[in-house]
Amino acid sequence: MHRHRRLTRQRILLLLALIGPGIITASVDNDAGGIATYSLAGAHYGYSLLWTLIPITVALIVIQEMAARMGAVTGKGLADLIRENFGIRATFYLMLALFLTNLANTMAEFAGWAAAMEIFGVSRYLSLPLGALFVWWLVVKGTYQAVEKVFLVASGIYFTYVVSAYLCRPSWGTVLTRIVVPEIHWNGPYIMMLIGMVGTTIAPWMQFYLQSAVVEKGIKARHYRASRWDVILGCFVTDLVAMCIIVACAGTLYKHQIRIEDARDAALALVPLAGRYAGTLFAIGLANASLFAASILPLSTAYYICEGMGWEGGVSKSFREAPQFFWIYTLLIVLGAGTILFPQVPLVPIMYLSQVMNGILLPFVLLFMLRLINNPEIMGEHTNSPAYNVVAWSISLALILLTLLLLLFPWLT
Amino acid sequence: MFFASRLQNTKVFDLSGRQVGTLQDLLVSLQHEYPPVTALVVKTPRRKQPKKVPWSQVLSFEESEIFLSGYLERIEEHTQTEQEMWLLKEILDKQIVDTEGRKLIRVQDVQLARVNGNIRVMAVDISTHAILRRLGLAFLSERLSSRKAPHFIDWSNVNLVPGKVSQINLKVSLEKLGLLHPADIADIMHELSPEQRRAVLQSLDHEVAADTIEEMAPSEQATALAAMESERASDILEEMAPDNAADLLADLPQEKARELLDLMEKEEAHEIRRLLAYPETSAGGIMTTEYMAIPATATAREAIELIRKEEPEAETIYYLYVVDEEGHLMGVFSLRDLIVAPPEAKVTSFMITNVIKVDAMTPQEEVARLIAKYNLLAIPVVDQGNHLLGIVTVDDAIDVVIPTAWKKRFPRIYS
Repeated sequence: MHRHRRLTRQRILLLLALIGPGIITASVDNDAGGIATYSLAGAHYGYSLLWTLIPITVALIVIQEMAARMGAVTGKGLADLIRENFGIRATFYLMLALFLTNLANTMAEFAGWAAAMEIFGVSRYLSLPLGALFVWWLVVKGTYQAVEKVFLVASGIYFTYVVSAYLCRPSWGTVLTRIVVPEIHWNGPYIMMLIGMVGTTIAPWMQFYLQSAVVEKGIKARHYRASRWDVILGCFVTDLVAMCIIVACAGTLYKHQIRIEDARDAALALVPLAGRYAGTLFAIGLANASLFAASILPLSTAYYICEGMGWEGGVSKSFREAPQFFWIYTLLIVLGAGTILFPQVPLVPIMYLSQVMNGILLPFVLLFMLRLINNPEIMGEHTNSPAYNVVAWSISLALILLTLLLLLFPWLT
Repeated sequence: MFFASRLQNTKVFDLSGRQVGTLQDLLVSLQHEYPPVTALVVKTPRRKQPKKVPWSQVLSFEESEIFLSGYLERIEEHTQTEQEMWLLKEILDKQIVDTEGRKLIRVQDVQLARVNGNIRVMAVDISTHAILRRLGLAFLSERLSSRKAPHFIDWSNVNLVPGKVSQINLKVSLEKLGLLHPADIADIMHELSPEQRRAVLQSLDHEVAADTIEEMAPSEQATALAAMESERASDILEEMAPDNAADLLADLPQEKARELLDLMEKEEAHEIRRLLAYPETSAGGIMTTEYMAIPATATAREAIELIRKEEPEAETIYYLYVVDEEGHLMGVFSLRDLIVAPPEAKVTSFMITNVIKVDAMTPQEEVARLIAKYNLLAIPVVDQGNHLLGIVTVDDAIDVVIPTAWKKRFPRIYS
């Protein structure tokens, strides 16, 4: 009862209080595009892409750790830092690219949402307006505490994929071996799939989101150690979910040589092979992931752009006070959900388009991040160590190389 | 009239008539209301470091070209003082405080003007027009609409926030910020980086700093105080209301809290220690000990004299509590009751004896409910022996029911 006793409990609670940004970012990472990519990887290549998850996790941790560290040390968002250190020109074009990329991403999320709801027999003409309305309502009417709780619960729903994978009864021994032992098939589609997996797991907007979320939590440089665990845990969760999706599809669809086009096909195809529950859980996971990401993307994008450009931003402001913010936010939702309403719109190419755009933007974001984090005027004593820089630069260069391959592949083959 | 962004890379010529370099930046002195340019930072191909040329050596200054009155190599380098800042590097594109609009704004461009042979900073342009102009797309904004004309904020209405690199004298640069309402300062600080927060707090005097800290979010309060020198932190705690100071100390690590308490004046520290003994969500945890107690033996006239003497300390004087020699709560009367009473009447004769009161361990929600139910401005808190311990004022009770300003304030990403 005494306050002094609460003090000690507070210390324990500190770690728990810092949990959040990393886990939420990691969960949004497995969005509609991610689930589709992992499903395809499992269905078409079985377990043979599982090994990529370890290097992907390492890369993810290294990059996210830098974003979180910058947030904790500077107390500023990434867009803010870029504007203050690289000027208006670089900021403007980067923000323009971020807008277009995240518009494509938002479309992909709504496409995933529509597809998942169609599995349950809900027409997209109903599910899309409802989904868009929910996203809007959550932000405009909800409080942050409520929103964060909703998001944390939503992160839990990803557990459905673990159950799905379990229901598919894979041979776990083989799974473990395949995770550790790398194998590379030197053919176009396989490499393409590999790049797709990397691209969907490490997306540019995540760095902006994570850094802002860390700033928002008020995590300071001296609490940063605890926060780092949040980031690392988040990265592991992301890739655990990815692994389960691949395993679920590999143990069933791949074994029976069923070709799928997207995540919806995967959910439907799982029903006769692994039972109704596996398929339904898979679809619930997809619906949740899509809506979850669709809630975060438009809003956070509008926010970074306003932060970088120096416009007023925020849902607590009126339309008159912050016209740019509301226009960007509304445009993203309306265009994102509206495009998918047209039945002729092909969903698979939209997913692909969003990944390509992520891929184009990522190198630039990484280069900005590396320059910022190595600037002692900004980071003080918290710049990268030389060893860390070697790792971070190698990862960045590898990602840039893979992206170039992804972009050139359609012309090479 | 110049725009700072346009001056970058202006050609610089010296007495030899040849171009010797380009303009990299301008040094401005913040000692004046409209800071004059005191030196040019000239980038020359010969030297690695740019050269700071004092304003006295500038013959002519135009957007298209700048002439120096001497040979560049022979001009003595200007030494930067701590009142001077780099205009493009440290002000352009950064965030500053608009003290008129009481918010942070981004410097899209800076407007300069020629005044009596000097170039002075006149205003900050915060319009989208400035962005388009700097991108070379000014024609776009003219075509789109005429409303997007430059939006200037006069330099006398802005206040810089210290950056990490800036060497400038903080006291001078932040003096305008200190004149704002503490709630506005807290709002602005919420948007700043931890470094900047520390600098801003450092520049405020004890009293304003205490008020500002009280307006900040609890988590930010503790961090802000922990980052300060203990001596100053304890001074600020003394200025705060004891209940708020106790809440803040409870959020600090135990050792730090103890150290600060030891540094405080005996009397204030004692009050806070007493408050700290109650759970944070109980009546004892949210009460204040700054109330007016009137001895039961006093007359109305004596009571008024007592209030005159004590008033600056008490949080509210609209309710006056009557206590006996042992500190038992006997009754309450309002300021109105007191004023309309005959001067020689005993306070016990017009006080209300069935006082609505709460025990120190009563949950805060119940306290708030009682205050609302009986339309009170404050409610007395007693222990089990009916000794008066403190009062909970209506504003502290409202905080329980309606989230306080910091709770309403959405996190950045959602605000």
